[in-house]
Amino acid sequence: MTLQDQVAQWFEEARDDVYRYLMTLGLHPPQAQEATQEVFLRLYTALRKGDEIQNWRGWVFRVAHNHGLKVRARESSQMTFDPEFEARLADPAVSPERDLLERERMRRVHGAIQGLSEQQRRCLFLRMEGLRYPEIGELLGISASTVGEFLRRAMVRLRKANDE
Amino acid sequence: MNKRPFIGNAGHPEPDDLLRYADGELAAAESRDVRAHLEACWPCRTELEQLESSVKDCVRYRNTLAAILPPPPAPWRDLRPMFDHVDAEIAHPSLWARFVSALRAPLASPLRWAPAALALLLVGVLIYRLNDTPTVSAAVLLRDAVTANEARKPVARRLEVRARGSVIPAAEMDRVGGLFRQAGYDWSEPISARSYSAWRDHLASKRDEVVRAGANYEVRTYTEVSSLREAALQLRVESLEPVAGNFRFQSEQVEIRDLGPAVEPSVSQSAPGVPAVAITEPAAAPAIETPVTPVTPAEELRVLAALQKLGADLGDPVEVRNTGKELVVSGVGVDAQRQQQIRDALASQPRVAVRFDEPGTAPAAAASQTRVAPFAASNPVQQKLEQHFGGRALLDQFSDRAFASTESVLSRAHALRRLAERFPVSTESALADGDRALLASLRQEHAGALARQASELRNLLKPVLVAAGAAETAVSGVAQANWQSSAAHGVENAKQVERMLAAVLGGDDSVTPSQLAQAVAQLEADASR
Repeated sequence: MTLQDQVAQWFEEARDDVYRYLMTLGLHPPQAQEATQEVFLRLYTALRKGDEIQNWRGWVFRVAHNHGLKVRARESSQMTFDPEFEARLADPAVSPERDLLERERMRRVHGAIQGLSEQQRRCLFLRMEGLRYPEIGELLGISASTVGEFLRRAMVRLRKANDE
Repeated sequence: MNKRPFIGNAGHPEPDDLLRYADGELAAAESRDVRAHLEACWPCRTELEQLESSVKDCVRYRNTLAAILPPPPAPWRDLRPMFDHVDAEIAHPSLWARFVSALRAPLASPLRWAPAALALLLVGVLIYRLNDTPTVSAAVLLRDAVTANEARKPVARRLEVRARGSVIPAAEMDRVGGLFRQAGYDWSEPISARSYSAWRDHLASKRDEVVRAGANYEVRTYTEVSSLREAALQLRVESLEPVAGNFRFQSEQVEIRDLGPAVEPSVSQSAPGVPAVAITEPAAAPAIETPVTPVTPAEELRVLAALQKLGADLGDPVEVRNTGKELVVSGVGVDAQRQQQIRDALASQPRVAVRFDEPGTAPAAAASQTRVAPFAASNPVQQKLEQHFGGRALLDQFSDRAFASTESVLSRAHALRRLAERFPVSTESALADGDRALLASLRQEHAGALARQASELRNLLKPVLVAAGAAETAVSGVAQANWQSSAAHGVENAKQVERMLAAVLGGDDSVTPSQLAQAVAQLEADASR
């Protein structure tokens, strides 16, 4: 498999995850899509130049996160993207979830996640994408133990939301 | 082991340790403690199940997001034409050079930029090679060793496993094996290129070193992302057969030597998961290497003193490893100027090898930290803090300062503890008078700095915590048996403060400003004893 094939395959595997992550960061869909392509182009360039990247997925999310924040800052005149989670969840045409109880649960989970601090939420989203504590810490400029602490707090919130 | 598990939570793991445990982020020893505790403790097991249930919620939420977020507005592009473009640029750097030169000096003649571009390219290639060579050669060497080994007839080997200078008794083998298994290292064949490669390949970040030591190659891998922090495998130059391995875990160091093929057939019949290891009695351990005088604690002390003078023992970038024969000073991400300072400072010391296997990085530029836009204050303490600072942005600036201050307290406390671990009471009392005095001055310097930094931190936090509603606290330092245990205690104090600070500033109401103030006061009181 050539390097081109390899990166193209990774792109296919992960582009939707990166695209979604960038939207949770507040990028509008066209920006998020553009940024996703840019990230994989950078990945190819880095590998082509001989950088040894052990965990490509971690690398991709790190670059996506930093690039996404730059894009968001550049477009600061524009409102950040609001996924209108509640409305979409309630819309039977969009939501895959027919089960009312499950929808209610997801609404509570969403509420709990929105109640987190930005850093806590970032830790949680990056962990959901499979990044390890040290990787998340490096990305957010905090220690791995703070990542652990933030995640634990996120978990406490989620549980509270479900106990309500 | 000086780690006392589950302090401060009535004998149960701290709540965030449970999550760390489930996420595989605990050190091997801690993880083992937690697992043993879970087997015995129903409430903690229930707690863990609840955590897992929240994890499941997260996964379902992620799937829900995927379904309800708008799909990409355009079809995904085929990236290959753009990859081709990257290839072309890399293959013809002059195009790029032309572009740069056009930008920088539109009037310069092509004859002037061509040599410059060539020089730039050569420098680039050189840096690239310097950067890349150790990693590549480690990977290649290991791959060749795996191939060479597969070509050999499989024979059970007799291994000698040592830790803390003595041979591990059979009864302890299982514990040692646990360390390896925790780190994802195949214990059934601990010194083989295959096991080593398999472990190494799974590390998200690592650094390799390959050196030729007499008749052997030594591959060494350092990492921060595994409980096995550093491993080294020695391979015979002519056959690439493994002869020894050295494994530094967070909690201890294990050395394994190959003593040749197992003689008794029974030994080779090992049960699955149990290494084909025959443990030699200490008396039977053959002296394979010609004996050398081991590096003495006094020699080690002088190296540490030289490094401390440069402040190179803080924040972990430089480390000193005692191989028995020599002291190896190495580091990651150390800039070139600093590397030279360290070489100069150690030039007069005998039996010291300084190894930076990467070219010096440029002196660290100001870290470009991106702070994400925070959300509105979510709890009363945060609201008070925001009011106190007059806005979220100023509170964030304060948080950065507070974390930076905690970080320096932590790195000082760690440096002191490392010194204490290298020189436990028994080693210290065996030192000559002059050396003991040197050790005392080293630790006093750390302890003094720690006390200063702890009170700076307290002064920084005090007015803010009072504004957030913290009560005044009076505490007195807790006496410890010796400076070594104070050092261990200092690290625990500093970690607790860091944890609580993250809680208070992160808007978690499970820690009150008063509790944080109390912890900071305790840190200061203990540090200034």
